[in-house]
Formats: sequence, structure tokens, C-alpha cells
Amino acid sequence: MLISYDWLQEYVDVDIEVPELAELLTLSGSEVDSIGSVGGRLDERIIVGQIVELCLHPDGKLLIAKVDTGQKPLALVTGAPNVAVGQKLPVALIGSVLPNGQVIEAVSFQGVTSYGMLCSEQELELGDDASGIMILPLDTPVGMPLTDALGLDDPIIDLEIYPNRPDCLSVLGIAREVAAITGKSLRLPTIKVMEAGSPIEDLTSVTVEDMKLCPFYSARVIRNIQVGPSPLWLQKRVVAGGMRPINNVVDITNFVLLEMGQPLHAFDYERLAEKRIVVRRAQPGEAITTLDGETRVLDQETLVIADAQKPVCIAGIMGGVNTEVNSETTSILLEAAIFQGLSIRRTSRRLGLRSEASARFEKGLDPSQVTKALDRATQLLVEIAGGEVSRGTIVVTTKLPEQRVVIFNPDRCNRLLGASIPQEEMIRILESLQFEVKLDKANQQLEVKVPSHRLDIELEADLIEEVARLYGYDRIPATLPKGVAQGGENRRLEVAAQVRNLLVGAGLTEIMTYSFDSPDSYRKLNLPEEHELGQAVTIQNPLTTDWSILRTSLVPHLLDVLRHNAQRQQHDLQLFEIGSVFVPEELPLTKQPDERLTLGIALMGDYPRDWGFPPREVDFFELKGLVEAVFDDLGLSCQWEKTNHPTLHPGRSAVVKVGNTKVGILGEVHPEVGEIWELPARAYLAELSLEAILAQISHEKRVDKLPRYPAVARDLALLAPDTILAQEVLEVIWAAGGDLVKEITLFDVYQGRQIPSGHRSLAYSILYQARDRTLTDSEVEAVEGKIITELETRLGITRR
Amino acid sequence: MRERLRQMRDEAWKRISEADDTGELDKLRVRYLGKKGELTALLRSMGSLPPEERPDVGKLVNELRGQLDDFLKERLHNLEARELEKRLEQEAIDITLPGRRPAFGRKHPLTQVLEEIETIFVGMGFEVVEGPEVELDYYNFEALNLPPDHPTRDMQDTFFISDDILLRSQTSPVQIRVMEKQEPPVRIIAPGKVYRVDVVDATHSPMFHQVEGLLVDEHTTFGDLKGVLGAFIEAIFGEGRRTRFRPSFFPFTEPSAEIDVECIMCNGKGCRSCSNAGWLEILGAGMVDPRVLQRVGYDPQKYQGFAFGMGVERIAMLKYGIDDIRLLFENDMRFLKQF
Repeated sequence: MLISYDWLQEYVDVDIEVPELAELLTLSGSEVDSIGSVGGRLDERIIVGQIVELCLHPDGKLLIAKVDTGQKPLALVTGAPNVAVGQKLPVALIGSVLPNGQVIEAVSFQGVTSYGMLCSEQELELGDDASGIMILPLDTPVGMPLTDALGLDDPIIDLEIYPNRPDCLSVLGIAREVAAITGKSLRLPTIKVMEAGSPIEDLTSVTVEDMKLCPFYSARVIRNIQVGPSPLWLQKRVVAGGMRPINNVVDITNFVLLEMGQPLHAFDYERLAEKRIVVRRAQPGEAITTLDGETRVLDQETLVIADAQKPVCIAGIMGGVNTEVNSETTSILLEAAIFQGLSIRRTSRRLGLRSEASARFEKGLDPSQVTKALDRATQLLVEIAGGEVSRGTIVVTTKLPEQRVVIFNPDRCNRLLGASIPQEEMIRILESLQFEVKLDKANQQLEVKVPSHRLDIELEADLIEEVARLYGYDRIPATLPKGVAQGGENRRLEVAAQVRNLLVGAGLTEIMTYSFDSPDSYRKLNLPEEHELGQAVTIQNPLTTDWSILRTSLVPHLLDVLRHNAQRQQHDLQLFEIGSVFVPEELPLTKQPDERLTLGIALMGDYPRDWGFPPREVDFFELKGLVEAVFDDLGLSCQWEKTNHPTLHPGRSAVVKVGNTKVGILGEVHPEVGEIWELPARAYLAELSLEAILAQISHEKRVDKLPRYPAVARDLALLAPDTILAQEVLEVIWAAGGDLVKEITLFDVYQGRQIPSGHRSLAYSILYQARDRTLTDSEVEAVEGKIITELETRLGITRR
Repeated sequence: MRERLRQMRDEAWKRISEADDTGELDKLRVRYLGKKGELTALLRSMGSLPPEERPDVGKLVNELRGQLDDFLKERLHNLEARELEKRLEQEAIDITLPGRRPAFGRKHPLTQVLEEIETIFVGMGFEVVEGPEVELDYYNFEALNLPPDHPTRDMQDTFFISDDILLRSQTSPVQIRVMEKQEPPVRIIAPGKVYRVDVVDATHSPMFHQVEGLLVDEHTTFGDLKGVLGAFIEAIFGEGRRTRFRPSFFPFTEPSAEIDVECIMCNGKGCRSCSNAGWLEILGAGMVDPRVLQRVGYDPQKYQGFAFGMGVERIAMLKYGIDDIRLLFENDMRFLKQF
């Protein structure tokens, strides 16, 4: 909402500077976005001139204008098509500087000297119009600097009005606030209408067919008006409010809209079929050409103002060209109404058409102001455009709601705020905002009558806010809540944090990606059409098709991030994300999808190189080790099974299980997938459901007693056929070793020289220990012998 | 005999003095003091002396033994010290070679800020809770005083999944879910992702993070809200920064407030970050609207409370001087490694 400081002064005496006023407004709930002006200060030597004579330049194209500037007339040469004798326009005198820095000099146009320049809106940076010279209102004083004549440097305060305060969408509304916060009195304009001629009932009638969509309609008829440009003061106000002057009739309706917040519409009375108004829903297929030149097809949801035959206006949104006021108009029917906000909002959305008027109807209007605004405009029409007002006003309305009374308890107010504002202060504040306050001494409370413009006040809490915001939030003391409370982290987030800390400590960097994804991403994972990961939740109104579904896996974005970085010379990547994936129970969605907290890990390239170590490439076992560390840290042991997943290398992928529950998958990226995602090297992915893991974590932790007897470590080098899995070897050793085997560590895997083909060498270090005695060599040898025998008979493995 | 002793002593003294490594010294020790050493031999040969001389000579021999032993020890100590010194000198390294670091990564900056916020509120007795990102219209809007077609729904354009399922546009629905399940006192914060139909640019992202807070009890006041948020701002932005509470509007709080902090870029002088206002809007808050309390079954005559919400990205951007929100979701390692 744009508020002219100058205009504001008409209704309330503001004796403080603009920045201070802005601060007061902001701190009382009308947030000031910025302070500006219509045009700022122009050079003092750009002044108002009037053309007294026009003649053609000898070249036959240009014009020579003799211009009165308050002193001796100047000869100015112009090529503009829109000049005429008698017009007033901006003249940049010699030596003046235009906003773009151009200095005006005397210039000769083929022998004729121009002693200055006539300016367009664009040249003065007052608008976009460059088609001709800017024409000023006829009552603009000649010779005055343009800045002063047009009030170009009048401060304009741009306010953000919250949706609950439509009563502030007018200069008077803001004046009301200013009066309340500064303690000054409010000066309302005096409205007086002189009626004459025939009663309005003889001239027109109004039928409202849908009182729900139009609870209030009022109209006046004004005849014998003279449509023309508005006087300077009116144009200044309209411009200050951010609108363009059109003609006096339209300018007056816009002025009243800005002044009082009530939209008005003027119809060309003579062009109304049967000279009457019907407020009704549009018939299917009915069309109207609106003032912006668009022809719009309407439906039954649209409320229109019609005459006896056709729609003449889309109610509350925009008028039709068929009854537009133009220079030929002599009589008008002036409308002031209230339309249902919801209906206006829907229509305006459907048509993609918003206006100053529709914005106000949507948010709600004060019913007590409608005919006042109608009279205010009528009064101005008579003053400015002449005209004769028919006697009476047509008003069609349902019963207006009674003024609301809200019970207000000062104690409760202080209790909620944690303040001790005296009751008299509260009453003073409420009364300054035009609430009528009655003290109910018996019950220690106030009966507060809500003024009709405050549609937002329904409960005591609403009044408490009024008291608080005018008392000043800064005056309410800051305290700390009473009572003891135990804060704490949520378990799910705690476990996520634990995993995150471990991975960051292991050298991985955390990433965060969007929950949105593209259906195409899942095809790019090599997944068959019917794969479960492709069954994703679809967004009805996505920003782009690339972001039209909710991710069912972290993998696509992990690959995106690998590619994004690889394209920027970052090839060695170890990263992870912890975030939700969205798994629908059924599609289309009938209930919320499962949101599963998921861990994704991606590795590619080398580990950071360092001068003491050989370079190390990431591989499957690096990834597996990380995952094992995660489980170990959470106190879980996991099992591994080979798997087949289309996104992963068939020989280098596995599922992870805890107990019998599958909790994740990991492996090397399938070369085809790697190519699709333009990865420069082998990459490794793991995706684990933290949700599934959480369910397995036990809170209990118990320590084992420390052993009292020494352990014996013995190495065992084995020659095993390729086909035997490490897991099988391990199982046999554990089984054969019995209680005395405490720890088995694989420290070398070797294939190559000295190893027969089809075999590999596995070297283990085995720790033997008994709880109750020191083991003797022969005891250890006996166990070891048993292990070797079992390995040989069951797996065909020999000792090297 | 005495002469031989003197000779032996002079000779031994000389040799021991000249020995220049510990091995040689050890050999000398064996040669003179060993079981088969010269001094021992001398002692044995004392039998050839007249008995009256024996005690004196024996005393002399033992004296010499003591002297040689002390001297050997002293020399050994010196030589060892010298050798150690030499070894240490040889072992010197170029300490300007870079250290070999254990690998460590970085937490995402948003995680770091979220953790910081959580820690501050947990310290003030708040419990951290979560709610679903895919929400029901009821929780995201209706229960928060935003009935269908309410004009204020326009304030936040929402992604819809179906007519009544949507991507939450705020973390406020978590308030409702918690209050439905729990009787007062309630003291929670709810961090999480929220979604709005905003085209991506330097200051907008269709997905971002909020932290919601709620405290409901019998005597919770607007003053408490000021106290708690003041303490939070001090903890996260440092002491001594001016803050202001100004009236605002949220459908589910009454009175409502927005909290500004003196711009941390320009210290309130006015700059691009604060649009020359000198203030940065950090939090929205207010006293929970009695209609909201009523809807979850709390008696608004008995209970009152406050709620607040903040944008995590905004705080992170201010804290770290990040000028483009897209950096937070692009995951460029050159960016992430800086945290």
C-alpha cells in the first residue's frame, strides 16, 4: 500500500519526520517496506510551460512552439505529434540537467534555434511513455518548477499490510492508525451531496439475484456530466497511489478507492440496455470484453453485473468496454457494492485477472462505508465534472451484521503478555483505535464494541494484540519460562547424528539434496519399468517435470552430485547423505506415504594422496568396511549376501542384513549406469534404511570381564580353491575352534606366483585364549590341528 | 708391587680416557676389573708378598678398583651422552614436511546450524520432535486457522499431492500433532524440511529447512517468548546485538510478532543484505491462538503458550556470509569443504 505523506496530512496532523513515522508504523504492525517518492527532485530549471502559439518549421516536419514560461515566451522546436496550443507541458530550460545527465543547450534546427526542450515522461523518468510530450493538467501553474507543481518529491511510504488488516488498505485507514499511535485526532472529509431532478427510481432499477455473492449493492445516477482530464490535485493523488490518471470520472472512482478503500465502478448510463442493473451469475458460454481489451468467456461460477441483456462488468474485478465511460459519456450509473471475497478470489484466479478492486473485495470491506464512498465520489463528480445527481440512492442489501461486542479481561491480558499494563492505559489504547469500551465493574472486565471496519477482531486475544502492539512490544519485559523441563534429542535424530559423526570422522563429506526427483532418473538407473523404486509419489503442481516426483531412493541424487563435481575437476569423492525417501503404500495416494530415513554413501576415485602412503583407490571393500563400521558403532552385527540389482555390478554387489531383515544394499555402479551418468571412474554406492536399522538397535550394553590368562596368537596360511568364499572358511574355523578361539583376523589374500591356478592364499591370525587357565602349546596345537583337518575335509583347503 | 700398581693405574687411566666408544670402554672394564682381569690377577698374586704387607697392598688394590670403577662409569656416562647426542642429530627430520592427517570430512553447513539450534533449545529444556514432510491439509492449514480458500493461504504457495495431501509448507503442523498426543506442559522444537512453490534463484529454494518451537503451560507469557528468543539470538549470533519485536500476523498466533536482529553484515548501518533497513528478519512468533488450543482439546482458559518458527537457510547464510542459497543444495565439494 502506497501512502503519500502529503495526502496523509489531510486527515491527521503529522508533526514528525518521515523516518520516525515509518518506525512508529513498523513497530505498531504496519511494516514499512521502503520510503520513496513519485519522481524525486528534478532540476529546478525544469518548469511548467504553456503553448501560446504553434507554427510549422520551414522543413515542413518539425514544429516551432512559442511557450509561456512565466517570463518572456520561449521558442522551442519539437517533433512530437501530440502538442497543441493551450497545453501545459514540462520545459527544460537552457542549462538544466535531465535525470539521465543530459545538459540542455540552445540547439539550432536548420536555422531555427530551440531555447530549451519540451520533455516526454520517459525523458524525465516519470514513466515509460516516450510517444510524445508529457501533457500536464490544465490547472498546473505556469512557471513553477515541475517538482513542486506535481509534488514529485512528496515522500511515499510503501507499507506491507497483513492479510488480517484490509481496513489499512486506504489512506484513511492508515491515517486512523497514525492518529492512534501519535495521539493526534483524525479529520474525516466532509461528504455532502446536492441532489436534483428526478428520483433515481424513475431512472433505473437494481435486481440482485444472488445475495450470497453480493450482500450489498448501491447505486446512484449522475447526469449531464462533462468527461475530461482531471485537475492537477486529483491527478497528483491518483499518481501518488500508484495508478495512472485516465479521465475525471475514472480518476474520481480510483481516488475514492485509495482514500476510503471502497472500490467503485462507473457505467455509461445511456449504454445500459433498459437502463437497469441485474447482479447475477453468468450464463454458460456468455462472454464479455473487459477494459483491458481481452474477450473472456464466463461460467456460472462468475458473478457479473449485467443490464437487461448482457454482462457489463465482471463483478468486483473489471468492467466491460460496452459500458465504459468515454469522452462522449454524459450520464453515469455509479456502483458501490460488496461482493463475497471467496467468489471474487476464485474468479480472479480462474481468469488470471487481479486488480486493486479485486484485492480489496477478497479481503473484506466495511459495510458501513459503502454508501459513504458512493456519496464521496458523487460529491467529487459534481465538483469536478459538473453533473446533476438524481434524488436518492438505490440500496439492495441483506440485514447487516450487528456490531460485535467482545469481552475483555484486563487481568487476563496482563497474564498472557506477562506485563502489568494499567487498565486505564488499555482503555485509552482501545478507544484510540475507535473501539467503544464499557467498564463492567462487577465482573472486572470490559465490554468492547468493535468498529465496523475491524473485520479481524473476534476474540479477546485479538484485542490483547491491539493493546500489546500500541503499548509497544519493546515495553513488555523479557522473562524466562517458569518450571523445570527436561530437554532432549529425539532418538531417530540421535542415531542419524551418530552415523553422521562416524562417517565424517572416516573422511566422508555430507551432502544435502532435494526431495524432488525426475521419473527419468529411475530409468537411468537401468531399472525395469515395473521396479518398486519407480512407484513414486507424484506432485500435482511441480516446478518442472525434472522435479515432479518424490524420491524413492537417494541414489539418483548421489550420482548427480558425483557427476556435478567430476565436471568441476573434483574426481576423488567420498560423500554421504542422510534424508528421507518417500514410499507410497499404494498409488494413487490415499494416505501419506512412508517416510523412511535413509543413508546413502557414494565413493569414487582415490583417497586423498599423502606422501607417506602409496596411492589408494576406493573399492568395494572400502565401502563395505565403512558400512561394517556403521553397524559396529551402533552395536549391531550384519550379514552379507550376494545380490543382483540392475544398477550395480552383478559380481560386486551385496545386500546387508541384520538378523533376517534386509536393511540395505551396496556395490559397484554398473558400468552401463556409470556411463549414463557420465562418471569418469568406477563408483561405489550403498543405500541403507536407517528406519530398519533403528528397529534393531538395542539400548543395552554390557561389558565382558577382562581375561586373566594370556592369549596365544598363531598364524595360519591356507591354500583354498577360488570357489570357496571367505565366509565359509570363517564359519568352519569358528566351528572347529570352539570356545578357545577368541578372534580371527584375515591379514592377507594372495593370488599369483607360487599359488596354483584356481586357488588363492588366505592368511589368518588366530587368537586362542581360555578363561580359566593359561593354555599350553599342546592344547593350542590340538585345536589348530582340528581346524586344519576340518578345513581340509569340508572345504578341500590345505595348509601352506 | 706398589710400582706395578701405579703403572697399571696410569696405563688404565690413559686407556680409559682415550676410549671413544662404549664398546671399547666395556672391553677395558673386562680387562681391568673382570674376573680374569689384570687387577684380579694382581690380587691373586698377593700370596707372594710378605704377610705384613698384604693388608696395605690389599687396601691399595681395592682402592684402585673403586677408582677405576668410578672412572669407567663416569666415562661411560659421558660417552653414552655423546653417542645419544650424535644419534639424535642424525635422526633430525624436515619438520616442514606436511603432517599426515587422518581423513575427515565435513558436515553439511545446514546440519551444523541445525545442530547448533537444537543444542541451544535442548539446553533450555526443549525436546526435539519430528513430523512428516508429506502432510495432510488439515495439519498444514486447517488446524492452524487456515480453512480452505482462506486468502492467507496465498502467503505460501504449496505443492499438492492430492486434494488433501501436500508437501508441508511449514513445520507448524508438528505443533498440532504433538498437542493432539500430549497434555501440557509441552516444550518442543521441530526441525525439518518444508516445501514451497518458489522458482530457484539466489534467495529462493522450493525446499528449505525450518525449526518450529512450541511451549504451552499454565503461565507461559509473551514476556517468556521474548526471553527465550532473546537468549536464542544471543547464543547463535553473539552477545550485544540489538533485537526488536514488532507486531505481525500469522493465522495461528495472537498476538503475533516478527523478530528482527541488527544486521550482522553492516551492524545496523544499512546494506544490501538488509535492504538498507539495518535489520534482518529472523523469526516469526506469537502466542498460540486460543482456537488452535481448543481444536486440539486444550482448555484455553487454563493453558496458554507461544510458538515460533525460523528459516535455517537464512540463519546459515547470515552466519557464514553465503550469498546464494543454491550453493547449499548444489553440493560442490569446493564449497562443502570450507565448513
